[in-house]
Amino acid sequence: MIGRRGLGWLMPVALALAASCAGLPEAASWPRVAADDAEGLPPIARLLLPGAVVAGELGSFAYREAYSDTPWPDARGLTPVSVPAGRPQLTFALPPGNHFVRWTATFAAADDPSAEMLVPLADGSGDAREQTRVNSPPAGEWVVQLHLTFADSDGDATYYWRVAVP
Amino acid sequence: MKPVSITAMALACLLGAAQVALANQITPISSRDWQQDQLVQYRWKADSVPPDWMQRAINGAAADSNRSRRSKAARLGQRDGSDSWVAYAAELPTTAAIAYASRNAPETFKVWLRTHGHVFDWGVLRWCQFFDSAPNGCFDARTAALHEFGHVQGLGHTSVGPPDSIMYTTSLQKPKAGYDQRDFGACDVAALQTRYELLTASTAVSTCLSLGTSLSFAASATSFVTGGSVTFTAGLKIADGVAHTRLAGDPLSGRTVLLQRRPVGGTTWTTHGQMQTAAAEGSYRLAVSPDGTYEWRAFFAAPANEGLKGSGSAVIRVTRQTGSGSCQSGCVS
Repeated sequence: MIGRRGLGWLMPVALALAASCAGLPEAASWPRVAADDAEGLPPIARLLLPGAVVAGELGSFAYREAYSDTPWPDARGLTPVSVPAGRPQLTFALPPGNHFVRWTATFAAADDPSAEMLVPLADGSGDAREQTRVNSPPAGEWVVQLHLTFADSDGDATYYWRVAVP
Repeated sequence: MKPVSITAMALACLLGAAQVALANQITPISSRDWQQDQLVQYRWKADSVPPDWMQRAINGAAADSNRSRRSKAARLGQRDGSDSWVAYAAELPTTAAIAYASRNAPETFKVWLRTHGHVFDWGVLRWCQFFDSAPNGCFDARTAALHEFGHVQGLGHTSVGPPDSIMYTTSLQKPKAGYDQRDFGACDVAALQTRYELLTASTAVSTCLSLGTSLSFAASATSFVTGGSVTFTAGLKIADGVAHTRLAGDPLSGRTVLLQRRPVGGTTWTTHGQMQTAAAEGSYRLAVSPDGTYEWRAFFAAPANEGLKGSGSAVIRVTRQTGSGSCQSGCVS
């Protein structure tokens, strides 16, 4: 069995890189997380921040003929992530070698337990890609949801991050 | 109200256009098909038989799927001894899920629905059907089962919420809009129609599609004498060049096809009448007694309630013969 709590020690994973590494990490240097190897699970999207790669909390997915359905997560169960001041955009990425063709990012207040006020952040589609960059939410505590449709008709998955924007 | 909520509301208002941009997206669908109209039956998993209220919800969802598929997607039904099964269980393949499905089309499928009262980190799972008066925060089991049956049909998730899609990325609780939707949404039906074709030639095409059409047109004669009649026939079909090749060339019956005419050399068309549905699928006909020489065409206007584009046929000139001169080929009296 593969579960949210079962992956809790790995997901979200915040791996501090060298303090001098202020830019985005090189894809080749990305650490793997156990969820990448979990049979039947889609690849886990990451939020790339200066000095950190934060794995998303996996929500609903449809992946290679397996389909899992979850409600909006409780923000208290998500590891808080602080976006450095002055970063107007968030970069989301799949592990190297995984691609998506459509993306939708939305967010809701962290104290809105069922996302009554869900706000569109960005959406797009196009050629297969490993990452996308979207505008950061305004200052506040948010749960950011990212829905990706994978390339090669492999399905889709939804990920969540609890994000604090100064 | 907290400042953060005010901010969110303001953004929701400002970004309303972005929400519009989410609409009209066909729900993704697996390339592994059931056969057209295949009857796929399920049993209750032996060690995980749902209680009566859940069985009614699941069977109701199967009926909802059959009724709202508007395509030749698989038909679902419950029958003991079937290879496919539905389970009501405390343990699912993923711990965060309230429902789960897997499929091996065109052979079998499995569906799990989590037991009422299961404790998640976000709270306790409550199915609305468990209660005589469903409280806010419950999940509608029939809607959840229809969502799973959507997966059984091969549908993935979409960011388009109800009513356009029941395959929303997030399971919705009462009283959120669409938490108890009983039909596949237009964009779900679009996916099923592109994969499995229309249920019949008269089935409405999903408004989540925008398919070109083409009209063939013929006349029983191209000239006539005064008092004679000419029968026009038209054939309406989905255009051969549409991207959804499974639907290309499929006939369209029961639509409004107009017979129009204009004076020779004119530019303005006048509707002579509505053509009647003929026996063959996608065929229409109308007999007329022209009072002069005209150019004729069949015309199909894009309907507001279907995802079809309008089309006009080629033009046929039908000439009134005057005097006693011999009639050329195709002349009727």
